[in-house]
Amino acid sequence: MKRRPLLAGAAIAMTLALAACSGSTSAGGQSADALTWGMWISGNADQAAWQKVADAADADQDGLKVTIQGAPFADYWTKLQTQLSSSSAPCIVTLQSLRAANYTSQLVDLDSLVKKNSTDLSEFDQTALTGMKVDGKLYALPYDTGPFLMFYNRDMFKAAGVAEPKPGWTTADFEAAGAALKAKGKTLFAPNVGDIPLESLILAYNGGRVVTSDGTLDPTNAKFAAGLDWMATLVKKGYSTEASSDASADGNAFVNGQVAAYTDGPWSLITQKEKAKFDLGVTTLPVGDTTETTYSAGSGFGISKECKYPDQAYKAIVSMTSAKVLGGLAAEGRAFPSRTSVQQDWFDNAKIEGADETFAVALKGAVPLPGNKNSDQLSQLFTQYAIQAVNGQESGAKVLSDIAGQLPQ
Amino acid sequence: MTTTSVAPPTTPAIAAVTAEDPRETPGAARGRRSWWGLAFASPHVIGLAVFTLVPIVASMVISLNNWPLLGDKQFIGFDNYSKLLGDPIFRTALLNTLLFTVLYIPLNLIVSLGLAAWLTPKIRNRHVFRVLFFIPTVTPIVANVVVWRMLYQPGGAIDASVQTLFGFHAPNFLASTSWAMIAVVMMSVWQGFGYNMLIFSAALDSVPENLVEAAELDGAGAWRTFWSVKFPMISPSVFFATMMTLITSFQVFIQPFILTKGGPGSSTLTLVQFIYNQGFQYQQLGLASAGAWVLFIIILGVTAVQFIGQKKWVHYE
Repeated sequence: MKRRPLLAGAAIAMTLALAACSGSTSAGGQSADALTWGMWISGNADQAAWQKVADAADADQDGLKVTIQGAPFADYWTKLQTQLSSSSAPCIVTLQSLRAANYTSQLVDLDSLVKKNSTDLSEFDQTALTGMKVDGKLYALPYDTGPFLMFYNRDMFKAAGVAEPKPGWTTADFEAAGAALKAKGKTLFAPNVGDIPLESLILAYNGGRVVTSDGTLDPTNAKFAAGLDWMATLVKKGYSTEASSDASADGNAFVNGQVAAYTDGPWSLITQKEKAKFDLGVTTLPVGDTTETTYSAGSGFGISKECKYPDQAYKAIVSMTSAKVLGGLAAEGRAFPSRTSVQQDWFDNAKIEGADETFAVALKGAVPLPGNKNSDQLSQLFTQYAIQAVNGQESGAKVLSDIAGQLPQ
Repeated sequence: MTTTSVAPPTTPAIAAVTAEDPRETPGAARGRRSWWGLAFASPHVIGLAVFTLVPIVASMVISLNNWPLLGDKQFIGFDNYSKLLGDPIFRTALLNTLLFTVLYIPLNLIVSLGLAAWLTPKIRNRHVFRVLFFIPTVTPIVANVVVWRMLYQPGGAIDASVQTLFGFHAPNFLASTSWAMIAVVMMSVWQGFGYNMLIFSAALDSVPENLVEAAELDGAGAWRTFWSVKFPMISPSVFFATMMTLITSFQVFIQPFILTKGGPGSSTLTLVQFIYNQGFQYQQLGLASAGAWVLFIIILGVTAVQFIGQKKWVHYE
């Protein structure tokens, strides 16, 4: 009979162990002075930089402790969705402007908290701030902003005897540079069919959009189709490499010196400059027939509805987006700050000739990249289908109708 | 497949519980042994229940609901299943998976059986070759796929070699609708043949030498000896390998996911990637679970057909 207690004990221990497993993943144990913060983290240096941001929030509120829950960027969204659906979300969540719309049902509308704490929103870059709004309601305070830009290889342009691109250059200038480089046996450009790069390049080319400025899907937009066809002509003429489903193919081709230019956001500028063994320059996207010359995408901090202490969380995110904190991040070359007053710190650190002029021109023509509930789906479909258009296997219109057929109407 | 193998340990334990009586010494002894049996089996049984049976039942329940990751759930009966069957992309994914299986299995078996037949004990340092051929199977598949992606890319190793040898560019394998699936299959064969080769090699080693000698004395050549003597002797291993390979090839995911993301278009979109997209990209867990059940039923059906068909060609001693 002694075996029974033994077995019962084993069973109880097992149950407790399992319960402990499930318990530790939840945000249970929330309290006013211990807040969790979900953030994408790409390594130890990244972790250390964001820890300073958390420390700044701790310092501003007596007894507060903000704890980072890190995940790599690609997994962050899956993790966040799972946490939000199982009521175990962190209090403070990091959001990307174009994905904010996917999460609004689970996020606190910040407008009343802004009023209550009389936060001065005019100090933020207004495009960055607009990017964090869905249906006119603010869901996050931005910490960075980024007009999408073109990075180029100064040495390669020089060696080919081609004039360096000036901020505000046109698609005609772009194609002329392509022809000149081709004559020297070089390729100008590597395309990327990810949502931000593809939509930005085409917006600058002819103003074509698949998501209208109010966030409605317009997947069969004729101008966007024309933009895809233009990208196909670049490939055909030999100014551009073929597109790949690998999202880092364009950046790799650029860093390895296979192409002279590609598109990317300011958040990558410092890392790419460190990787490149040549003189890296930055300019605006080539502009065609349009006044909206690039998208600006940024990230910021919001508060999940799971959070029982929104007032404390709001104060924490105000600290985390203060001029001091953002200036610190800028001086380390991490995020291009959403606060205009500290943007100079970032340029001082980047030490890239002409970067400030480029940013000034780019920000003037930049519009926020609107989000949509189906933006993840759209992004996946672009990766699958847009390469067919860019590589000239299908027309832009055919590809867009294939994509539209798979999106909810 | 593993679910059936676990039931036996629990049955005697339960029977012993009912028979337990402290006054009967033999019964008590039997009972004591059985209790320990249950205790040792319990980690596996509990693990199986918590991590396999519960998710299986849960996925069945989810598949009968409209179950977005965020937002309200709603019972909709078999609507997810009828939606799937009416979805042209699901049909494409199904056909792609079948195409992959039809291309992959024969190639895998030919390569692995061929190499196993070649690696007879007469080959010097055969263990070195065995290890070499087995390396692709034991290295992490994600790393392998990333390397193969670099080989396939324009300007990559294959393209560069073709250009040096023949003076023209190789096709852009991963971006061409006609080449992408072939590229995925070739990579998968390289990754997967080592396991089957090891099984075949071991089975061939255990074919009795006297049978082979007898065949040779009767004047059979190497080809005839292989097909008429060795192959029937290893047919249970071939059956096992074919069945396992078939099951894994229906579940192919990582290779197309990293090489092509299912593209170009949907030319390499497989069933598991379709399920992944529905669940984790589009947040439709109900539809994803229904897709997983359809895949399960297909695998179950094909495996059953194989078990029936084996009577014709598998020889057990």
